[in-house]
Amino acid sequence: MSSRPQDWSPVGLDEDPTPGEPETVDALSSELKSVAEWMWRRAMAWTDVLNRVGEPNWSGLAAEVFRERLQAVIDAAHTASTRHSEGADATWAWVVAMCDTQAAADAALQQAKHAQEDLALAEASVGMLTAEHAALLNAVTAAQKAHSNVPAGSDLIARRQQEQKALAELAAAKRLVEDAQQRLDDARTKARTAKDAYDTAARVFINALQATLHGAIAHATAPELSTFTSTMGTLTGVKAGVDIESEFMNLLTQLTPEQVRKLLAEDPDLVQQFWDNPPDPEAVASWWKTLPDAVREAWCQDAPQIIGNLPGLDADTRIHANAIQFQRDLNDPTIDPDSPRGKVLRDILKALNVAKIYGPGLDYEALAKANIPPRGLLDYNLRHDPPLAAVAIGETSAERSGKVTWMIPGMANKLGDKDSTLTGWTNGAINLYNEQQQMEDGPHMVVAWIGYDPPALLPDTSVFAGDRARAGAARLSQELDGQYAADRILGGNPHPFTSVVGHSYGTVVAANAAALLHHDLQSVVFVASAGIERHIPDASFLNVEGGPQHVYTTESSKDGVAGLGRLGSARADPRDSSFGGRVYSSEGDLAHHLEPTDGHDATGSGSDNGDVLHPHATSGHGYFDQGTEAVHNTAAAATGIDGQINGGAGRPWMGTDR
Amino acid sequence: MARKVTADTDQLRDSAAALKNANVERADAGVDAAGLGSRVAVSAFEEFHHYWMPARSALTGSVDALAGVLRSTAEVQEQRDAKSADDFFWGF
Repeated sequence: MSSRPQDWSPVGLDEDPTPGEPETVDALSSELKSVAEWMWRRAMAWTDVLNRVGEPNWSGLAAEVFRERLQAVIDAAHTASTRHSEGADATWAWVVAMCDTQAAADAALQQAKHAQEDLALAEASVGMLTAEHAALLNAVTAAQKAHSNVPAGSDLIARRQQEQKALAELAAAKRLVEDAQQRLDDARTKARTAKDAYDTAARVFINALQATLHGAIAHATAPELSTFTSTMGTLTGVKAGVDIESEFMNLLTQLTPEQVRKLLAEDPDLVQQFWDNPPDPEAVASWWKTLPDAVREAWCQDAPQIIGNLPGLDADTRIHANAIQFQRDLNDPTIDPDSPRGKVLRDILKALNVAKIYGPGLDYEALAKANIPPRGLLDYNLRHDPPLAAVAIGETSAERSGKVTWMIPGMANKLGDKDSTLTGWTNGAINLYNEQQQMEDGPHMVVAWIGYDPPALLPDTSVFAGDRARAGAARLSQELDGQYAADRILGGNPHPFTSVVGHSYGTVVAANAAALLHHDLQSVVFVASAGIERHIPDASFLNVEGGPQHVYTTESSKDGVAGLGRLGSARADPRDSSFGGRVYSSEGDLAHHLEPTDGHDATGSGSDNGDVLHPHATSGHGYFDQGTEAVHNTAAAATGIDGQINGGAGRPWMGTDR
Repeated sequence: MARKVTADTDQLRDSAAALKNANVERADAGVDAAGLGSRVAVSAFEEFHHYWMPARSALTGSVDALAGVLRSTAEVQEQRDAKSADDFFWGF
């Protein structure tokens, strides 16, 4: 243990300018380093456990929640280790600075002490020599008066010499005083410099320590740990399924809504897992059918992100649950309005046609439903990257006694890039719905679905690859089978009617989904197809009631883009004879007041003419623009009313063109 | 997409023990922070200590809870397996 000097008055200071015990600080640094290493070793040991409790040793929902929690603890241990290591480094830098500045201060103090001693001696010498010189000078003066009329004698000369010698000694003594004073001043300056360096190093140390104060795991209170243990106990008690989908079903049937709410708070990723691996839609519909209204409402309130996106549930339920979550997100101050999520929130408000109405207490579900036609949020997954959503247009009673059409968009429809993507696709769906309503009595429901991650525009080449379509089809097929279950089991509809309409790359998604289904669709429509993948060689591979005769396709002769999609991907044109679908016109028929489509867009804008360099459709001449032959015929094809298809739907290669 | 649900109870118990073994608290060296010198430096170190000590005990508490979950999961799983075997034996 070092002992610091107590008296710092020689350097003009009241206290030690560089206090501290380097040995102690060194020990603190070592202690922090030791804690950092201990924490790291613990994290490594826990990581080993994490690997051991992974598949195949332990799988299922409880295993996933457990691993999420353990991973969070390991991450926190790594963070704590890193921060302690940074603290150790800062403390070590501080001990080095402390040693340096203490050495400088101590040296200055020693120098000051020596200078003070020298100064005292020199000043005493000056005093003595001054008196001596004065006496000698007086003696010389007296001798000069005594011999004023005669030449100076040897006595006077001797006295004068003594006086001069004393004067020289006095001058030397004064120089010693000056020198000692200068050394004293220098020592005091050095002491102040050492103090300044010490204070600067202290600030660096303090700032470095304060920079480590982040990333600590929140202290889990006893009740919180108890809740986690209880939640895990509940999850472990959930009967194991043969796969994750059936285990999710067991979770729904065996846990209370409140337990699931706590589970989601513990593991928010479960929402996405439910989206990716939804339980069997028929099991979902059968379960839901047994629940009293109050329990259903509890599910919607406690787990809206699951219920709102659960295939097999009816549209009214899903729209209600999604409205609850949507309202919560609108009031969530952590969502940046300029972020993709913020843009999607605005996009949804516009798509539901409630954007101009704002207020914290508004019931957006009721407001959207009051539109003509009514609207509702059928899919809502804001936390996915990119966000995913779907708007249902029309009468949800179509599930019980009408026709439901799902519309799948193509490239450049990724949600979150701008705040009008879902709105634009919804507008096209409204036009299709209106056409259907004019053709036959409803009820009809059209779903503007953006439940997948569509490719971007060229030069991005992902439109030529099939992976996004396959991922989208996996979810869409669950939605379509879910539609069947909701109609049949919850709606009591003995003959559900569901069609799917794909546009551009959306036809790739739609075809893949139609090939995966457990229940037949009643109609599949490919509009401006970017190609059908080769593993679906013809229309008979699609699960469509009645087979290829209910597979329709169209493409305007002025569409210069769809063919590029097929060319770049080597996917097949569904209009080819080998595919076997039925072709209808999008060319327009002015005699019947039906406008042509003159580009690739779903809804046209501007003045492009549809060629490769100007690929957009002009205003009012997209495939789903009101008044076009394309939207009219697509509405007819999607509802299976062949007689309403202008010019008919034929197989041109068989001589049945129009 | 479909994933089989499994649980190796021996492995879960071993893992619980491993978690527990690695979760032994570490005794502090008991170094006096007063030796840090200036009051502001001492104060900064005390702030560091007060921030990280609860985090260290939170980790310990969390890992204890996780070890407990592994043990109880193994027990529940074995009870369930035993009941399934019993049901099978009695022809349910």
